[in-house]
Amino acid sequence: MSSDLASYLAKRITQLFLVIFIAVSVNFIIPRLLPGDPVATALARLQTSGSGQTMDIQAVSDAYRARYGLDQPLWNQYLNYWADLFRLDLGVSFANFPEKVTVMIANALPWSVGLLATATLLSFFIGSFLGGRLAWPGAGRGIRALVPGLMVLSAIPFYLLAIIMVYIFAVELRWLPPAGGVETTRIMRLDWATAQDILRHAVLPCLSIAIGNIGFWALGMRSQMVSVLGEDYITFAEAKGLSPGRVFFWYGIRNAFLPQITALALNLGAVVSGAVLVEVIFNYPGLGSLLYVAIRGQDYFVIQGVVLVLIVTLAVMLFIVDLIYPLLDPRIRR
Amino acid sequence: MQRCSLMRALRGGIAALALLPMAGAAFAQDVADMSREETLVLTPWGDQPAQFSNVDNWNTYLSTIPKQRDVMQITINEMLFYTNLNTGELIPWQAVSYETADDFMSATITLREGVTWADGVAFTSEDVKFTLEALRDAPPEIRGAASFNEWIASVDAPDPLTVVITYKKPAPRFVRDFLALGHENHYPILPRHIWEGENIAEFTNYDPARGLPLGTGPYRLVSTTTGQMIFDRRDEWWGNVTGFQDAPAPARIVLVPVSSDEAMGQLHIANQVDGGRQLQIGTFEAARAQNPNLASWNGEGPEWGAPDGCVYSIVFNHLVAPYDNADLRHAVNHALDRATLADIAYEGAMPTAPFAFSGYMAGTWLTEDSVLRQMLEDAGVDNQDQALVDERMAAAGFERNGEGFWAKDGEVLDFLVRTPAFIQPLLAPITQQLRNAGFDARQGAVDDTWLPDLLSGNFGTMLFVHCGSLSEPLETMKDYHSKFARPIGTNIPYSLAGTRYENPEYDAIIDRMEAIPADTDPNSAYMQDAVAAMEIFLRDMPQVHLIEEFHVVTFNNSYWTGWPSAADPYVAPYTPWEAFNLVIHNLQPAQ
Repeated sequence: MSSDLASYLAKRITQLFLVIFIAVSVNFIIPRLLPGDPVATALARLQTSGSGQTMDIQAVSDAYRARYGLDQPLWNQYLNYWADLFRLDLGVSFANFPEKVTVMIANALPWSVGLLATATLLSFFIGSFLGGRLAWPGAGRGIRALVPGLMVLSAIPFYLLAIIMVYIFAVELRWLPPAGGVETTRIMRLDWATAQDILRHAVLPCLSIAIGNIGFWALGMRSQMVSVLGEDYITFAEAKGLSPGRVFFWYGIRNAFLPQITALALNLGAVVSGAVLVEVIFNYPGLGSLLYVAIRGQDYFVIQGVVLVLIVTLAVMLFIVDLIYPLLDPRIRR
Repeated sequence: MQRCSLMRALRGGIAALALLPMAGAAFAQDVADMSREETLVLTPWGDQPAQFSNVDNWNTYLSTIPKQRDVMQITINEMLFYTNLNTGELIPWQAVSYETADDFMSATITLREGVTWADGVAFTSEDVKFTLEALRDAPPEIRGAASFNEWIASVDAPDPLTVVITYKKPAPRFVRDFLALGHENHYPILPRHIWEGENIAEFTNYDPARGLPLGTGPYRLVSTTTGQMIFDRRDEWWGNVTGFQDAPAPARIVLVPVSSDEAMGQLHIANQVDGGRQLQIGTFEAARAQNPNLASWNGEGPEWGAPDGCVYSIVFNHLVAPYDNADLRHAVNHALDRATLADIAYEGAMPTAPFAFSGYMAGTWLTEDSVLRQMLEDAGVDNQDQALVDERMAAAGFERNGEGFWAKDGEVLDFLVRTPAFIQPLLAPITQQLRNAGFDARQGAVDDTWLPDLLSGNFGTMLFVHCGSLSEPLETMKDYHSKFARPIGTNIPYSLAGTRYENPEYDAIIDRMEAIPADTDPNSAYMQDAVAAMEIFLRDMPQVHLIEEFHVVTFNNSYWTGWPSAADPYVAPYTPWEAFNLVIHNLQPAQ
């Protein structure tokens, strides 16, 4: 490993830890700056919902605060928070006490990762391919007609596309289920029928996110491909007599792809935040739904946990991209 | 060839990602398949995450675990009595009767013979004694602990079918309110042989091998995951065996989570649910256009829904000037046109309410010749009148300034209208009506501060929902007792007591009413006190009640019929209330 590369890696790793440190600290402090007592608020909300009408909020709140160290000085709480994080303990949900936040996130995470990763990768590859083809000389009429339409769709928020899709495919045509992760009466087993059911229920939410993103990727790829087209190595490859397909994929797409990969990591944040409402609309049991209900119910520790997971995930994704980049583009190592 | 392999790998990768939920999903325990026609699918009430939490914690009494109101009340647990709130009829279930002593210092409950727990052990007075005493001695996070401790001195079980509760003070309505109303009380009897020796705040009540959670109800839990809770019917249920009742028709009850109004509407359209979460009026009407099998309480709109015992109100903080002035509060009352508010904010789906008396009292306490009803009409509470506003504001020492706003000593009254998000539709029309009447009203931010501020007294006025009288006037009237008042900065113990109203004369009346049973006879001591309390309320107007909350409870007749309705009001139609168990017993397959 060259000293340049080592220095590059050291900087990136430091950056990653700094981002995580700041994220954790901000995440800790913000709920505590908010007016009111989150524990009492959660309990009072429970009381107004009718579930604990005769509860003495003050007494219960005091008991919980003592049990979870929330009555200690802020510095102690901060240190305890870090200690808990190292044990992967994000505290408990006060709206769903005594459920651990980590358990709630662990239950929701696979659904969101499955949905978002599928939608993002689908839109990334399809959009990049279409954008590349659009810029490539001799693109067919079909692609010329399709891509502008997809670009228009990329201007529409995911949740609006989701509502339109539900109306067309679930309410009017009744081809696909309108909501949920599986049929309400499905007995979840590790079998093909359950897998099919999960896939059927993922189609509409996945398409809502993917369709809105394809145009974005196509637009980025088209402009990259246009600059790549004028490069000498393209002319050289064509002069060598390579097939148009080989020139397109191995000389065109491959070189135009690099900025797309950076954008992919950066775009994940937007996809995650945009997907929150899609999950809510589809009653999809992922992090988005969890976050939405936690915000509405002022369940601060769940909000904190979900946001922390998202920030750390994005930071790690960017770090991974930073690590991959020198492999894809040796100039970075210089 | 290379490209084909790449594409195959890509397809495989994406398929694997799409199926990732299977890696994290909790799979159902050994559960048999059952047809949709035999299955009743419900969702919990209100906004909940799209996944269940605490799936392996079935502690009925932990305040933060709503399983009793979500599903246990209609599956595992049963109550000693239920009440049909529409008529006031007491419906005995695990018990056959109760009697309160003449001095109201004790009550005797007689249990039904032949009731058994799901494991075959007899349900006896020892179980009742154990439960009531456990609640009396429980820590504050246990539901009802404070109330049971306030009222219960001791519980005796002289024989297996008799329970005697001795109170610390006269308690003419304890059994009704805590053990029979079938509303949001959630105090089922626990099996002593399971819970004895356990810490009531820590016990999870979940152990499939031991048959936990265990109750006397006709269903047993067969699967609990974050996506579903499945209950199968027990044909050995005591009601079947003793001939008390046939077991309910649904062979299986499935509870699924739903996180939004829109999602619930879609599930109804697709016939994937039969009932549960309420719908917004617009969602209900849109869903009904797609699925004519959907029905609510009333057969016609816009008042589709049913009362839930709550009324939207303006709470005045009596410790903050100028809201401590009764004339000003009356002026605010006369500035508001309730019918218009209901039309604008709720499309006319909710009726006006001059006081927090639920529609469930219409047939008993608010009949045509009822004294209380007459008082409210005579007082002209629901009467928008600018002349009365002017008169009251002048009496409060205010006069209009050059801009037409009410001002005192040259200072304009800055009227901040605050509200929780769940009644935000009222914010704009109320503000406008107040401005029309000369108040310099402005809309407050709809944020999370309303509840802490309501509790601590950091507000002047606040829109809030007052869940009050379902079965007698005292239920609302007691909320203005000064025992709930606290200085500003100290949280009130009870969110409905936000006014911090203090009046020793009023307290004395409420104390008397609490010590005697409710009585609709106009000459009874109770009614005379109720009238006296109402007179003080109408004089002081500590809170302005506006509109009664009607939720569009929605039932799907595609697979199951026999839901309660205004045409067949055998029980109140709210799924989280204990008495919804009677609905489960009344359902019949549609196909």
